[in-house]
Amino acid sequence: MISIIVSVGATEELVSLLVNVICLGIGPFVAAIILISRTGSAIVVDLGNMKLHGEIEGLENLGIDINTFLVAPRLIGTAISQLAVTVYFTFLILVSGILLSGYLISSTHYEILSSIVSAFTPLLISLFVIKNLLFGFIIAAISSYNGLSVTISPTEVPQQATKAIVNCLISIFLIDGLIAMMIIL
Amino acid sequence: MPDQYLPDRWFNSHDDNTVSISPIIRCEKAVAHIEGFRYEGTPLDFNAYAGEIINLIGPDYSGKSAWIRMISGKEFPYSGDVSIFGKNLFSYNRADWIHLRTNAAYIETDTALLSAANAMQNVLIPALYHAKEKATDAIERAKRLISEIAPDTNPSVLPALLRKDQRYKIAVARALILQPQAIILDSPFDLLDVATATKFKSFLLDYSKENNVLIIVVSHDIQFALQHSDKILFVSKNHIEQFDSADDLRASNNANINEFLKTNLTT
Repeated sequence: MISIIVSVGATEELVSLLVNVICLGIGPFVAAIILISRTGSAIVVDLGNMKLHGEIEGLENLGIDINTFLVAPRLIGTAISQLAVTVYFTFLILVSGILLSGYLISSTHYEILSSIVSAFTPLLISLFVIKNLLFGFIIAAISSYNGLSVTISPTEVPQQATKAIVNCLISIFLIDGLIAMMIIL
Repeated sequence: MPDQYLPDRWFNSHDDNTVSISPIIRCEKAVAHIEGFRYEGTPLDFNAYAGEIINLIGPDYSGKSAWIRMISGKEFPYSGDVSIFGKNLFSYNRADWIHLRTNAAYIETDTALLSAANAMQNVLIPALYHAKEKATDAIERAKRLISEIAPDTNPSVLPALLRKDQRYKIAVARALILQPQAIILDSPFDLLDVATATKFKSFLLDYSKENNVLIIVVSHDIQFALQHSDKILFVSKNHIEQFDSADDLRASNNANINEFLKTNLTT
């Protein structure tokens, strides 16, 4: 793709396309899927088992608010993780793609690297940060809710984990679509 | 005179300018939710004051745990009123619930510890969360409590590697680190061997005396209940039979109580 667009002389458009698609589209979405499968399911199983074994009731008996003690750190942690994973992911995708294209196709493609830095406008960075924090927050909130929905049976833990994964995916799809529409409009 | 550190609602002023201390726990015509059967006996009228030791005794499956859950404010009464720290449970707001749970420790036999934290961290967590004192002071007190209550427990070990009785003692230490004014224990001696139970009983008695703490215990150790209680609540399946001193209970004409004491004191 880089080769085709560069051949028609649309380098600026290429950079804008790459940055927008990878930073605001693919990057957050792929990172969210990684986090849903890894962190989201872990939160459900962790909180579900804590509820099942009475650990949560034990804390509540001591006047400890579960939302501030167990849920809030997970919300903050997952939001930061989502942002960090997306930063790594987009950096690797952008840099490796251009380096590979420069190495395999034409060394002129290396010049795109320098123009990418200037494509990161304050608006793009703000949207990037907000979108990723929102994704992470939603994944942790849904997973925590499902984890704490476990009541008395161990069989509820995998059931709630499945529910959480599906709910997270649906929510991420919807929010991704909404944000895309907002950007377009 | 009212203590400057206690809320005003704990004290009742009378016309003759005298002041009396309100009970920590007051039940008025209260009936507990009892799983498995509907209680149709007399409702409970009950006052528990600071420094008292009260035992709940009675036959197995008579609903003692349900009554103590209600008395501790863990569950709302089925009917009637329960007031703890001078306020009816039904009118508690969020701050009142936190105050209740930090000042009236309720510990069941199977109270679970936080599995991801070791024994010392488990004891420290409530103190650090509520930030009632400096972290260094909390650590010192946690060490002292563990050495007094669970001297055979390695504080750096995770709960999964502790015996049941050790976990229970750590749960008690975890509750006591908040320096509650009432300690409510459901069957605290059941998991302990005779020697450990004796030490634990002495600890509870000394702790109550030194700190003027109310202790309410569901006990299957009738000898302990009769020897050390200020009052005993005798519960049977269909009735709150009696709430009196040990001497009054011994002298009772109630056939159920006499039968129960006879059976349990001779075995």
